[in-house]
Amino acid sequence: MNTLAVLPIIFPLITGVILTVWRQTSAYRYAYMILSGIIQVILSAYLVVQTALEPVVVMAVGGWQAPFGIVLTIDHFAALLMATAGLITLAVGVYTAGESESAHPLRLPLMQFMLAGVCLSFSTGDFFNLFVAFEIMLMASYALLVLEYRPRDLKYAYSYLLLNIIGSGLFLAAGGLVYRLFGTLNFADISERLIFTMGTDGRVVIISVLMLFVYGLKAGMFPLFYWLPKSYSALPPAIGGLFAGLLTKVGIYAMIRILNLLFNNDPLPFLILLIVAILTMIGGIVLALTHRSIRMILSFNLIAHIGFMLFGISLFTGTSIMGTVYYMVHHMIVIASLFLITGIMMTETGSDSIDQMGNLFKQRPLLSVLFGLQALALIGIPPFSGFWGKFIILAAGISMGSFIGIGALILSSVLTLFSMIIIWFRAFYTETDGVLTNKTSSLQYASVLGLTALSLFLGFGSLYGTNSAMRATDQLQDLGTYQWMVKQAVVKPSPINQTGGVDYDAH
Amino acid sequence: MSDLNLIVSIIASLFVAVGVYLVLHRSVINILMGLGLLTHATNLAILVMSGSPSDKAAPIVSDSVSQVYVDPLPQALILTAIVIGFGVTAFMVVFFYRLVKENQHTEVNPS
Repeated sequence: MNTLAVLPIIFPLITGVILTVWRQTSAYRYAYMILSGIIQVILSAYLVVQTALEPVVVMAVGGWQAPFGIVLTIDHFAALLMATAGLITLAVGVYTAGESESAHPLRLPLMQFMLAGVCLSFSTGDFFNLFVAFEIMLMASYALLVLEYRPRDLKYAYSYLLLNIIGSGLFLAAGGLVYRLFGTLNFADISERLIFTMGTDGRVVIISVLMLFVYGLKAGMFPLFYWLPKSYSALPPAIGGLFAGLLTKVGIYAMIRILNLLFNNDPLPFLILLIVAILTMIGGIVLALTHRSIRMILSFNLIAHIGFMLFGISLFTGTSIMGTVYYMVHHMIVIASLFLITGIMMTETGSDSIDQMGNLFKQRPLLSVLFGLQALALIGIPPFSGFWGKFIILAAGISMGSFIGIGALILSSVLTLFSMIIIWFRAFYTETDGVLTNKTSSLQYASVLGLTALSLFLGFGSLYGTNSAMRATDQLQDLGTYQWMVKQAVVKPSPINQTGGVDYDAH
Repeated sequence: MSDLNLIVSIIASLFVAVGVYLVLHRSVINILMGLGLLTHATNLAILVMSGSPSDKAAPIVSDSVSQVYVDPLPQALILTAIVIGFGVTAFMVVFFYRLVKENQHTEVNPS
């Protein structure tokens, strides 16, 4: 059943191709998209269950044995993120179906291509393949960005494109260095060889810092987040939610994967991460307080919360990784749903600035409740989903004695509360003369409701959440099983014959 | 490190220097050229990673003689990277075309 590992990547690709050909916007097209989204979620949910029961699901693509061929490795962590990514894409798709003015016909296929890239980067067990996955994801995101911008916003796409292309170049160069140093690009193989090159090899440190730079660029780490807020906040909220939910988390995921498997025996990358995480937490949230556009506030909040995850990674104990995993899943859902709620608010009031909004609390009670719940989850008030991840990261921070980081995390949380209160009072409580347009459909509410229900489940069902995160962390830390599973994974007999030479006549 | 690899490394670093210089310009043509140079610099850097080619045969396996072959994998990586870089460059050309049409001048000013 290991072939199943490739389905969450193939399936959105096929859907994307079909939707590209099938341009005519109709209810059937949306229905097909939603159906395929549901199937995608079921496939990845099956993988979540599978990895909860068994060790890593490994698929050797084309039957080539591990260090020579490409492998797809899906552990519980990757499966959880894949399922969450599928759910968010589905929710954004449902939201798009409910929008009053129909979207560009290429929006839906590009979303599917992006999902395929995201799933591939979650499931790859190979360094170069990770680069290719990033490129698939980024190409789809470039195209979406340029399609969805209003013409006068196009200049904001420029910094996004340029920085990501340069980041990809550095990623590739880092891949070349890894190949030269280890003679292999397979994660399991590299981590095995690292054991023999013990100590702190300077070259390994250089590569890992280079990687931190690349993934930090994608994740929106402190000095590198220049491209993020402007390019995300000029997007339509639906696509903004998709980007905020998926793209930055892929950077965080790659960071955890790489640091865990490969470069975890040197303190320098973790020290850099700690400093940068503190600056990201404080800087992001302070900048969020200076803006009046809701999408801008949410984008800067996103950066601040990336800082929480970076702090969790920088501690790099089992507990802190567990907290980070929990927080990632929570944050993907909550930030995407907040962007979608912003979309509804914008269609109702016709504006993005909180100074122009008002009357929402009296006239749209359901929307207010949803926003309130998601804002509470984002802040991390105890029974809601944001609390548990933060709580676990805090506990890990206390046990590691990293008190500056803890202080920054708490300060940043309080300021998040402050920025949400500003939105709440300006946009929901204030009475203005503006008239709400009432152009939103029940499908838009349905997608937000679904995401809110998920976030509530993550909050109140924290037992399941922590169990799952613990399982993911155990699998991450159990490198031996990972290496063994990758080594033995062959679907059909390998083409290496008995004498040890490669048998080229086999086909 | 052989002479050839040294030369290729120097060329790659020159490409990076010129590429960064060009990318920092405001004219879209310069930026495109700079991006192209940066991509090529990365490809050359990977080429150096396959090690010294002196005294090694091309990686074509023959039964009779046992030889030391050049590592072919970096070349496969470069091939993939070239294709991806080509796609990205094509995309950037179209993007800049739209940007120039929108702004009515050939400079970018992200603000």
